[in-house]
Amino acid sequence: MATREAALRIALPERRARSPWAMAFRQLRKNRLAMASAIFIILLALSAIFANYIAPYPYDKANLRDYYALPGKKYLAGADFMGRDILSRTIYGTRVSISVAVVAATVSLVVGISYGLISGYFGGRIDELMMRVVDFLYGLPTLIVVILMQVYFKALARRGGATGLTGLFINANKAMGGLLFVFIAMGLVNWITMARITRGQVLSYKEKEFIEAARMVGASTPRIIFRHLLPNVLGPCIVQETLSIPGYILTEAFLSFIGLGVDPPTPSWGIMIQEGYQGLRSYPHVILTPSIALTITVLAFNFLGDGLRDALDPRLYE
Amino acid sequence: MSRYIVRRILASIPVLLALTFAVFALMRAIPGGPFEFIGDKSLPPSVVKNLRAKYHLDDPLWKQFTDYVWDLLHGDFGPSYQYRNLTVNDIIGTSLPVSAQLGAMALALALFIGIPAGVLAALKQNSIVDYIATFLAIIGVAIPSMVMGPLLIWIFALKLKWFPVALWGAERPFILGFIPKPTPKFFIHAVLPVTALGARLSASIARLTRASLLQVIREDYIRTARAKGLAEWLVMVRHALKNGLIPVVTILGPMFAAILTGTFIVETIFGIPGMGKYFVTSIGNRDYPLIVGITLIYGVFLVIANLMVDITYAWLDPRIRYQ
Repeated sequence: MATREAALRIALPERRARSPWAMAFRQLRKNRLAMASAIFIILLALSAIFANYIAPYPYDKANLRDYYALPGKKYLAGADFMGRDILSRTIYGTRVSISVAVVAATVSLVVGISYGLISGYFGGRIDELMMRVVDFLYGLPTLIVVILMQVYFKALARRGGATGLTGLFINANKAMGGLLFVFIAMGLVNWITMARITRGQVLSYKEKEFIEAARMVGASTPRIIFRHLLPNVLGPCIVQETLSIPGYILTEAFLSFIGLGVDPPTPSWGIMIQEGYQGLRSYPHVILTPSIALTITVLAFNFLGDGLRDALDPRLYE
Repeated sequence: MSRYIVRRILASIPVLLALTFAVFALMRAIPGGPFEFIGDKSLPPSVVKNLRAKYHLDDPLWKQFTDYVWDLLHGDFGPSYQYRNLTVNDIIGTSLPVSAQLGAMALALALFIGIPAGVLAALKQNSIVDYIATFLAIIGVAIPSMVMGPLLIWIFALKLKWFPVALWGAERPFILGFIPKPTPKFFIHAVLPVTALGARLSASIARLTRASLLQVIREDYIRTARAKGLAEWLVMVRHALKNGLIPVVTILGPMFAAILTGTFIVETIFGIPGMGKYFVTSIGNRDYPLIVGITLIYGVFLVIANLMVDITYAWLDPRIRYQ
């Protein structure tokens, strides 16, 4: 008797029942690089929210006498060509980057996942039609469209006095430091990938028994989609989105660099790099801080995304 | 296969049309027509009326659009607002070859350094070579070109003085319209910009190649090839590489786009007179026909590049053709 129980205990080791999310989180915790990146990102978000309290100077306080000041006691990271403190501007710059990441990722996830869920679940002609639209949009070089949009809205804003819908957009844009269109543009760029991934996942889960069981029990269609399909679809989507966030941040920096991004004096790392590059020969310290901030942020999101992908990969379950 | 090609080409046409229309609508919709100011003075209304009639700006919109497309097909992009004695064609004509040189060299760098590096890292997995390569690749991917450019300038041009700080060393006329004469001056000027543009791409290609090759090596047919007694490097090159490179082809499409947008930054930083630099300055100077013309060229280029990539991908992986 005792030996039989002992034998069973060896053959079937007890395992605490955990949800897949908890197991994935445990796996993620083992990945020190990903954890460090996650902590860094949280710190970034905190400094974006509390920038007012952390930054030593306001981001637009121009003190022309301190033109290109070197890093020292007064300005910890130096001052730019208008005497504004670089450290403070970098801290305020996290606002722009984090907002871009959050807004773009959310828009992309919401639009993409919904689209993919509907298209995959209903199949047939609806699916065909929706995928045609996706194919068309996929061929369109979205960055070009983004640039066109930005050119148009900036031209309108300069002219002033636009009424109606465009006027509403322009005013909202001004309230956000010139960022609204950048946000919309980013969301527009990536939702297609999200929709495709979701649709693929839905197609593979649609025929599984638990969906059929739910249908037989009388679950309504929305309930099946949201309660049963969605949780299974979320995993790869979140991984993909986390890995896309560096792209959003870099695109925003790029747009600001060429002058199509935020309006000065709102600080964005891209605009700071552009300003710093102009004084590169004589004052190289100006470009240092925003560059480091940008690089480390991109690295952090990359590592976190890789870690998430490894954690959520079903093949690596113990 | 040909059916697939035809299908893809047909799918690209509405995209090109939509892009042209968007570009055209933008040009007409932006307030501030071409002829309302010269410098700070505005023209008298009768002159404006005559100019508008000459450029058909009072025709109905659909007629303007068809005229615009007709002109486009004949290669006429319209006048430039900031360089009033030049047309957009002239500007694009001088700058496109330069951008093409820069982009092509960056692409070559990315492929010829990235792929071998990835293969090497996969072959000697977990060795010191692998660690160094992976480390460099991660750094390369993270540093954007707008950081890499000034960094390279600062280290190699200002401090070490090995390379010139800026400008492009190609001398006109170009062979065949875009191939530069291979003088030392050209290569020395080209090193830093091409590195700034291509480093990131070669890093991501290296990572991708390494990951995909590691997967391919574990497949059964590789084991068969080894069992047959083939030398290891032959196994790699003849069998593993072909399949391992498929993921690289899939990212070629986005890579073209990345090179394109990269040229904006790199040309601005290095003062290279290519299309990207003109694009950036024309945004600042509100030279709408130039903006729109360059945008259209980039857009068409991207659509065609994506088409090529899709076709190549279908050729490499027959499973795709039957979607």
